[in-house]
Amino acid sequence: MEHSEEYKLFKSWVPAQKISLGGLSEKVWKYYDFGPKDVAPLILIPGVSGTGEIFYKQMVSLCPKGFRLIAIHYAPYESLIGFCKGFDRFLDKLGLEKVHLLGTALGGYLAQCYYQTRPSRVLSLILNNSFCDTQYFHDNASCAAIFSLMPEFMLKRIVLNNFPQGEVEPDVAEAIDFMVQQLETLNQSELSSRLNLNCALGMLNPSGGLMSNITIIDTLDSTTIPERLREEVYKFYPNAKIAYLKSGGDVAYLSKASEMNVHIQVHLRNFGLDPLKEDGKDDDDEEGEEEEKEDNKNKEVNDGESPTRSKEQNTATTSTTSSSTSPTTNNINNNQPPPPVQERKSLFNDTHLNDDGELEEDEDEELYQSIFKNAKTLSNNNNNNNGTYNNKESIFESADHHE
Amino acid sequence: MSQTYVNHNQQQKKYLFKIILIGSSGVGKTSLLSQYVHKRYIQQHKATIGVDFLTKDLQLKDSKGETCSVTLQIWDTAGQERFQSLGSAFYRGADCCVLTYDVNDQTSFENLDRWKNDFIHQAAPSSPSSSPIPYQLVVIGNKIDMENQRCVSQKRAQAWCTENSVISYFETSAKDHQLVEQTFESIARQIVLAIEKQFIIPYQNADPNKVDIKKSANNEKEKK
Repeated sequence: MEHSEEYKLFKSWVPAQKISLGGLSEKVWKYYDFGPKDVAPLILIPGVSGTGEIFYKQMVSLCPKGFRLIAIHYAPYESLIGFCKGFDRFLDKLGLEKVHLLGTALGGYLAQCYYQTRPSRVLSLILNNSFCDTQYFHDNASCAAIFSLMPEFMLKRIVLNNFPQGEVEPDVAEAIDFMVQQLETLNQSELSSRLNLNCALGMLNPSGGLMSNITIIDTLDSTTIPERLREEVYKFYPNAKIAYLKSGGDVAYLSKASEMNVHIQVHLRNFGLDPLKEDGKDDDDEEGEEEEKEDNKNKEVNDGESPTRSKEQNTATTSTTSSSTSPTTNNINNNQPPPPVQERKSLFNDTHLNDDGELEEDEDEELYQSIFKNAKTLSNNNNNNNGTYNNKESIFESADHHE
Repeated sequence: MSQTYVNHNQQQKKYLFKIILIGSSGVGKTSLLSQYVHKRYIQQHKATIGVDFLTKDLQLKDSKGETCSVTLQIWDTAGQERFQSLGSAFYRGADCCVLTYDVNDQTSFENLDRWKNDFIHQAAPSSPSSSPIPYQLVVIGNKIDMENQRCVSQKRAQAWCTENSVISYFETSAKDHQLVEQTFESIARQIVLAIEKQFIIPYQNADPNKVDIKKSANNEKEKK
């Protein structure tokens, strides 16, 4: 997965950024921020074993469509209140007034906690395989009190024990492989803090569950969050929209990214974020269509010439179309950090080759398709090697060695 | 964190079906869905933008007489092409595609061919090895409350269905709440039946080439 075309794109488009919140013990938040700067962002919060990178598939496919996504890697905090305050300051530092939140597992729990402390700042919530009560984890953790004293390899082992065992689909296995690699990059204080947060007794107020701007995206074959806990979430938020995915394990953002992205898009669109031309008057829409046709003509004409130039022109024309029809998303493309020129060129060539020089109306979709195709062939190659999931073993081995 | 996790082995079978409503603009897809899930009829026509979905839980009896709980995730799509922005991603994994037309509108019926081809083209299963078709096709003729304006006869619609190997044909009226519930229930039943006969594969054992994590890890170890 780390060799996939999509991941390379992510790495070349999105810079890893750091921000320090100062204070007595310095809290460093890492994050990936991508997409137009003038729309309310969706903040992606990982669970215990994740980093910001686990959401690369969301960033690569949704940001070019006009959404702003920020995948965070939160600093270690010992308490939920500490996290909420830290997150608040993090948003302040980035100058974000209002945000949408997406959290997976522990991340979802943290998102709910933050929502309850600062409801005015949260526009909507997406919970992915999450929970609203930590009692279960608290009861099951035999050594919760001493997480902070445990060495790194032991903590990693605790986390790894909760990764699914037995048979899984190939794409889930691949995703888990990636997660294990990400887990290796976490250090002792980060891990112990996250496990602490996961097992700390809750602070969610039961009366806070009536909000309706929630989408719960759950996979039916999730293993780490027991069904009882998930049903509690449904009861906690009776007005939430529940989007089931048939499969994907606990890592749907990686293993079933395209379906997950559809749900994210539907959610954001329902809660006021629509970079597409929306409910404009009929006249406006017709104009938009005409412009699109003109765009196509331009494309065809420019096709024979230098590819980079026509690509640039296309982005320019689309930006005018979108700004003319939807006032909320002015100048999407202008504010977006432009990908390196070389990358752009190669991208264009890919689409060019795949579609025999025919460009369709929807550039982004096409772009995504070509990325997707490449990613798919690559992943197929990986599958043939039968090399799935060896990282876990290697960590185990090193752990054994330490012992 | 849990050291052991309890596997809830349920007696009751649980299914999740993804159903997609497609058809020309204005045939009443959104009304059908809203009538079915909320029991509300929307008088005004407003073009759907992009896609959205609603869920509905059902209790059904399978062929052995056992009750199973079914969750229908029904996707309402934009009939106007310019609003179809999500591309093929959401067609994937559909258990049933409901082709909708307006019995009083000739062109919406004629468009069924295009919609059907569109769906089959985009929902094509990624792995060609899975020989049984993973989805069902169903046709609904809507707006039968305006009988005197009808221009597509039931006979003609049935003929189209047989021609295109569509198994079921239903007629509904979203306005009068005629046969809406029954139609969706029959669709759900049909999918359950298809799963039982293994025409299509349910999600529990969806992928025949599952990877056994432990085994492959052990293999790796042995290789070393």
